[in-house]
Order: sequence, then C-alpha cells, then structure tokens
Amino acid sequence: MKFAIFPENISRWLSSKSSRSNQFTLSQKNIYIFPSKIGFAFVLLIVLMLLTAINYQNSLIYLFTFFLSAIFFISIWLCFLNMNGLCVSSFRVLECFEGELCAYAIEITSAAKPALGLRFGVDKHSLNEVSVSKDTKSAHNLLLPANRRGLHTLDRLRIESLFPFGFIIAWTWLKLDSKVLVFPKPVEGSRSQGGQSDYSKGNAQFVSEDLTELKAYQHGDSALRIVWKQLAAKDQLIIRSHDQGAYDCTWLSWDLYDVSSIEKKLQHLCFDILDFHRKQQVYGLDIPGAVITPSKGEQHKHKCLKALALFGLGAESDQNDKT
Amino acid sequence: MTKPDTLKPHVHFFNYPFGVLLTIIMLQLLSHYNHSPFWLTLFAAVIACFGFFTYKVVGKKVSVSIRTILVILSVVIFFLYYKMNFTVDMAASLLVLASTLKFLELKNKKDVTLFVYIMLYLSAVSFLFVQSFSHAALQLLLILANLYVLLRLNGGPHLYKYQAPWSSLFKTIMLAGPIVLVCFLFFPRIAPLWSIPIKTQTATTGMTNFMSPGDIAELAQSSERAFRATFSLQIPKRKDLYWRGLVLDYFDGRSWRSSGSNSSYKGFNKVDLGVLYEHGDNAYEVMLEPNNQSWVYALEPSRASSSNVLIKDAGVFQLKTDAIQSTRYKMTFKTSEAKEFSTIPTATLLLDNKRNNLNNKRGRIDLQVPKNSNPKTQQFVKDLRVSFPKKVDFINYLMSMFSEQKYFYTLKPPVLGGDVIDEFLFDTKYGFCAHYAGSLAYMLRLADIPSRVIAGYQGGEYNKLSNYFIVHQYDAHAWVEAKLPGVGWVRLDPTAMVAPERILSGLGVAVGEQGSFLEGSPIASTILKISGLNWLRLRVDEFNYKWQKLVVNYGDGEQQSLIKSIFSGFMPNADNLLRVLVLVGGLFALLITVILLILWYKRYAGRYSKAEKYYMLWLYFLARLSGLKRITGETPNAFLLRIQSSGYKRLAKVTKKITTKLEQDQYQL
Repeated sequence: MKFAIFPENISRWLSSKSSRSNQFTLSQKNIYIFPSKIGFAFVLLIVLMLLTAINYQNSLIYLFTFFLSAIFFISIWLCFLNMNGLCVSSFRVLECFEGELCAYAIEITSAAKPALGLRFGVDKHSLNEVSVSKDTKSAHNLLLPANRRGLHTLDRLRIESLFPFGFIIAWTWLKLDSKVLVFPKPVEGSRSQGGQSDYSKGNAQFVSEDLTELKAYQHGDSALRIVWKQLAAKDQLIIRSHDQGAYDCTWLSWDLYDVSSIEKKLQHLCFDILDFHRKQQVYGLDIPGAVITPSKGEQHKHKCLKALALFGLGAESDQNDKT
Repeated sequence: MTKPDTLKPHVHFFNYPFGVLLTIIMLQLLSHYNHSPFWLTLFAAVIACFGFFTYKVVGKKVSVSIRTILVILSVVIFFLYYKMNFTVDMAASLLVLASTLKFLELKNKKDVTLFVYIMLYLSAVSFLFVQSFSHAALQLLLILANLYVLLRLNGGPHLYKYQAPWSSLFKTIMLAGPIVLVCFLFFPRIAPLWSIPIKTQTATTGMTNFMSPGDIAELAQSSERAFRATFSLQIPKRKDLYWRGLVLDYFDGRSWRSSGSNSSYKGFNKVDLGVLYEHGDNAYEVMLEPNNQSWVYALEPSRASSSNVLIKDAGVFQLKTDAIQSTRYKMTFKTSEAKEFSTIPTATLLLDNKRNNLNNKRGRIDLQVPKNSNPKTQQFVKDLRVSFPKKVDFINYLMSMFSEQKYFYTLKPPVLGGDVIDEFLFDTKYGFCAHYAGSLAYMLRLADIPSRVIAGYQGGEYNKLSNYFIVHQYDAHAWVEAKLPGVGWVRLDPTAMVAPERILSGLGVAVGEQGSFLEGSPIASTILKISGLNWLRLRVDEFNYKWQKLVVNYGDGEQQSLIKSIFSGFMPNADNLLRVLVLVGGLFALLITVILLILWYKRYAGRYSKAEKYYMLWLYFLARLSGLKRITGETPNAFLLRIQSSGYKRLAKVTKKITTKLEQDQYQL
C-alpha cells in the first residue's frame, strides 16, 4: 500500500513510544485512519463522475455523485466507530515447542456494538480475519512460528479494519504484553551409560520396595508415596519415607549428554523429560542454576520444561518474534 | 519464510455474492435497455448468466479459451454494428458489454471491487439517457446492491451473524441524505470544462420539419408526452392554446416544409432562468420532453424570458441546444393580443389595402406555390376570386365551405395519389388537420394572400391536481396563418370548422365515435377510460413533473435564485443588521447548546443503567413528597425498611417495586 506509507510510518513511530500493557482500549488516541488504496480509486471514480456531470450539465449525475461522496465520508466515521471502544487484552501465557507454531493469546471484547471485519497480526501481510459480537469476550490465538526457546513477548500487534465498504482503513499498533513460553525442541539423544553411575546426588539407586523405610501418612505428604498394599491390609495410610530415593528415580542432569552445544543438551533433556513423563516414571532435573527434585506428573513436567526454556536467558527474553 | 496455511486470510472466493452481482448486471442492462441495441442486451444477459452458472454451480471460473472467444466475438459484432461512429450511447453500450465480460474473469477482492466501481459509473452514465423518477429509484437500488457487495467483501467472516448488513446500509443512506441535499442545493454548477458533442443515435420524436398530408395523423396515435406547461396567472381556455412550433412556408405540391428563410436569429433575451415570472404579464413555463430537436412550442404572442431560447423570424423560437434532455424554458405572453380570424371584427378586416396587394409578389416566400400542380384547385380558386373580389369574403367562404360541405375529420384519412390537394378537396373529403391546413394555405396563396402552415400542438390535458397542462403527441396539430392587410398575421384553423370539438374538447372527443383514437396503444386508451386509473395516471404525472422541475432541471439559475431567496432577507444593512445579528447569534447559541447536550448525554448516558436512573428519579420525588432522604452509604434495602417503618404506606409500596427492579438489574446480569 504505497499511498499509506506516510501515515503508516507515523503510526509505527508513535506506537513505539507508547508503553507496554496487558490491556488496551481503542480510542482516537491509538486508532489511525486513512483512505485505503481502493478508497483512493473510489475518489477517482467520484471525480470522474463529477466531470461527467459538469460536462453534460446533468443534474441527476450530480445527485448521484454527491450520494457516493456522502457515502465515502460517512464510511470514514463508520470505520472509526467500528474499531472505537474495542478492548484488547492478553493475560494468559501459552506454551509450545521450538519449531512449532506458537499461539499468543489475545482477547478482543466489544462492549457497545459488534465489531466487524477486524484483522489482526504482527505484519500487514499475514492477518487473521475475525469479527467480534457485542458483549462477548472473544479469545483468539495469534499463531506465529517459534524459532527460539524462551519467554517471548509479542512485538507489536496490528489490528486493522476495512469495514464497512473498504474505502477507509483504520488500524492500530499495540504494544500488547502478550507472552508465549517456548520450550526447546524435543530431540532424542543418547544418554551416556557412564553417566548412570555418576549420579552425584547419590540417591538415584534402584532400591527394592521391601527395603523402603515406612512412615505413617501425615497431612501434606504426596499421594504418590502411599503404600496401597498396606492400606488394603491394615486400613492404615502408610507412606514411603521421603529422605531416601528408595524408588525408581532418575536424575536428568547436564552432564548426561555427550554433546558440547548447550542448545543440543537442552533439546535432549526436553525429549527425555517428555519421555519419562509419558512412561510415568519419576525423574529429577539437574542443570546449572536449577535443580528440581524428582517427582512426576503434569506440574512437575511443566516446571522442568520451563527451566529448560529459560535456561541462561534470565527471567525473560525480550526478543522480537519477527523472525 | 513460507507462510503456514493458517495465516492466510479467509478468502473464500466462491462465497462472494455472485447472485447479487448477477442481479446488478441485469438491472444495469435494464437501465441501459433503451439506447442499447437489442442483440447487445441479450448477449450480455446470456454471458452474465453463463458466468454466474460456472462460478456458483460448477464452482470454477470460465476457462481462458472461452473468455478469449467471447471477447473477440463481442468486439467483432460490436464494431460491425457501430462501424466506428462515435456516439455517447455507443460508448455507454461498449462499457456495458465490457463490464459484463469483466464479470467472467473476477479473480479476487480487488477485481470484484473494480467491477462494482464500473457498475456505479454505468449507473451515473445511464442518467444521460433517462431521467425519470423511476429510473432514479432503480439506480438507488443499484447503489444499495453495490454497497452490499462491498460490505460483504469487507465485513469479515461473521457479517450476518453479528449484524444484519442491511442495517449498516440503511444507517449509511440515512446519514447520507442531509449531506446529499446540501451538496445538491449548494454545490456550484460549473460551466462545461470542455464540450463533448452529445451525438446519440436515438431518433428524434414528435414533429418533423416537413408535413405531408397524413403525417400528423400518425403522430396523433401516440399518447406520449410532448411537454408540460404551467401558467403563472390565469389559465387560458383550451381553445386558445395554439402551441406554435414551426413555420412551414414552402410547398412543393405535396408536402409543406420549412424553407429555412426564417432562420436568422434576432439574438435572445438574457434573462435568468431562475427568475420565474416577471410581474404583471401572464407567464408560462414549459417542460419539454427530450426529443432531440430545437423547436420551442410557444403561444402567440409570446416573449422569451429564459436565456436558453432564441428568437427567430415569424414569431417562432428556437432552443440554443437540442432538447436531448428534458428542457425547461419560460415565456411571457398576453392572451388579449392573439389574433384569431373569427374574433377580429369584420370592419377591421374590410380595410382592404390594395397598395400592399401585389407588392413584390415574386420574391415572397409566403406566396410561393409550385407551378403545374393541383390544376383543379387552381381553377377553383380562380373562379372563386371572381365571385369574391374581397379577400375577407373569400376567406370567409373557404372557411364556411369546410363546415357546410361534406368534409370529414378523421384519424385514418385515405391515401392520396398525385395531386394531393385536388384529390382531397374534390374527391375523398376525408382528412386530418394537415389536409385542411395544407389545402387552405395553398388556396390562400393562389389567391395572393400571404399564408403559411404552422405545425405545433393544440390544447392539452389540464391536470387539476396541480394546475398545469399536459400536452401529448396526440395533441399535434397544424393550422394556417394568413397575412391580412392592416391586421397582420392572423390565425385560421380550418379544423375548427370541420370538427369544432377537436379544438374545444380534444382529439379523443372529436374522433371518439370512430374508435380510432389511440387504437395502437390499447393500454393508454384503457387507462383513459377508467376514471380511477386515470386519476392515478394524473397523480403520477404530477409527481414526475415535480421531480423534473425540482431535481432533474435544477441548475445554475435555480441555484442562484434559491440562494438569493434565502439570503435576501438577511443581507445586512442598517435596517436589519440587528435582526441578522440576533438570528446568527441565536443559531450559534442553539448549535452550542445542542453540542453540549450531546456531550453531556454521552458522558452520563453510559454511567447508570435504566433501573438506576429510575431509582434515582424516584429518590428525588420521594424527598419532595415525604422529606425522606437516603443517607449516604445506606443500602436500598435498608432505606426501603426505613420508609416502610415511617408510615408512608403508598410511597413504601412504590419504593418496594422500584427497589426490587433495581436489585434485579444489579444482581441478575
């Protein structure tokens, strides 16, 4: 859209000055509006008609021309109103694996009236079409390719609309605080067998269940450790003692893999975590800066994957997703 | 980067509203039907249906080869038909054909938008050919349909689900109305930037500039409108309405034609078209239907009072440009000055001035007769002149001859052979106005009385509903003017002698018994017979006349007079300066008040719900009625209890109702 280069640049520059937020309400402060390419073509059509009216001194062609011009001007207003008052927010952080499409959660709400023909995205060439009905929160996922692990924030969100007739385009650039957590890509790697004996924490032995020290259940103990046989026999809640890793347990550690690249190591770790999780095995994670005691379950897996995703990146990576 | 599928915008090409597009094409073909050749309309309709079928039913686009064949075929036929004669209607037809072909190769949103634009331009162009109200209404419908297509393209995937598209359109149209009105009234009407000759192939309608016996009879079968006329003061009697159109002063033995000798312009009055009527004189305004000719129909004696009328010799007028569109002109006239032979006192006529008699007889066009034609008539006139040496007596005899002898007025005169006047006068004796006028003028010329045939219209249908005359083609008429010494040109209407009811009541009555009136158009004649339908026809005509006057013919002059009439009262001078100031100030204050009210309303409108507003209103009344006021922080329920305990039973009842409503509103969202 060559015509719109100038206002387009202004809008980008202005929005870059604004601060990041979880929630935006669209108003005249952040909506930009300009005739679209076909809008300029329509103006040309009106000029042509006006020339026809003047040259043939035809009153009805004048009337027709004025009618179309009035529609053009009203569509400026309708286009603005369509976007005005929209509430754009993002509070959920969605997750995905490197190399997949990650979804940024975006919620668009329109309180007063339906908003039609909206398109949103990060650049003008790939936009998702959506319409929002009155008074309902519509949740949308903006899918973008995830090329690197880490916690990513959406660069700038563009929402535009050509409603009602396409003559006018209204758009906005929002620095929406929409985040996505990208885990390393799961790649199968060979765990070095030597590493098995090198379980430095020393509590990853495979001990038979008979030798486990038993304790009475106390409130707060993990249900995983309940000895169900005892419950059936004695009607008593007995658990395995905590301080011994006296059950099947693996420490997934940094030195387990025979590759030099950190990213590769993280990828292999990721694969193994998923693998252990799938097999319902108990595992712990031991990487520099993060030690997660062995356990299993969905939450545990998430904790481990998050540690992998954020490894070496500090709390948050403020990189663009414009790859 | 290759885009994943999910990132593609939702383009469902085959979900485009092709049905609406097809409707648009069909309506457009209807709009351009009148000036397009029939083959073109049919061809375009077939192409459009074919395109629609492939898009919608087959779900494919028309293949390139078929499209190429169709394009070549249409170009060839088109140029074979028009042979490179550039006219406006050819250009319009070309555009119609081209846009229909474009319909076959729509690919994406941009194509459809372009197609819609072409359709809108075609709508505008169609006003060059037709300007009736019904046509304008059709074009409004087309605008709506076109906008609907654009709305479908830009309204996103859930257009119907969230908002009926027609409500958007309706809103747009309603808002556009006032803007259009203001622009239409006040946008300056500029003179044409460059002149494009409007050549159309549309045939001229109505009168022709020559008249053989029987010509007007054909015209008289048409119930089409020739023009309408409104009078400013008193409405003349029907029998005085002789609308002179053109002077036919050359006779070749068979037909009368215009010699062209009276084509020298005497200039024209530069009178504003917008200024309606000059004071005092009776004036009339004629709204001429487009006929592609330049003749002005005017009563005798008239003065032109609009700038688009030129004055010619022989008391006829001409339009500056041909009436390709409906044209309005204004005239002033004095009924009392009309010279009708029968109304002139015989004493005046008897002042036979012999000196003028044979004055330069040879060169005069108004005495021209062909030699060696109609010998019987020549002999008849020669004999008659002997028995009536005085011109007045001679004329009187001829006129009474038509009424007393067995001459008949008919719409279906027998076909005449060689010497038409001889045959008509002495053999057939059945004739229409052209026969009578032609032979009378010929006989007068043979008797050395300067004379000419006038072609125009006589009478008109009076529309009582809003005081104007509708003159139809069947009111076409021909009569004679003769120059009598001392009096000047005098009107003689032989038809009035043969069939007085033609002049007094019109053609329908005059030939009513023969059943030949409008027999070519049964619908028109049926409508005339049924009084309810006739009333409706007059109502519709009245509406169309108003439409033409107010909208179609709204131009520079009308605009200027409108602006003048608006501002004439407000032109600031010493007298009314104060008034103007007060008025302007008042309007300004009103405007500001309205804006403030709107702002105030917008600010508070959304803050409270309806139930809350009612509750607060009730609190206000309650305070007035009982003096009980809600304390800050007191809940509505607590307040209700307090009122119930205070002893105001009725007020408590109402308060309870309103409080319940409020609670429902607050907690049942």
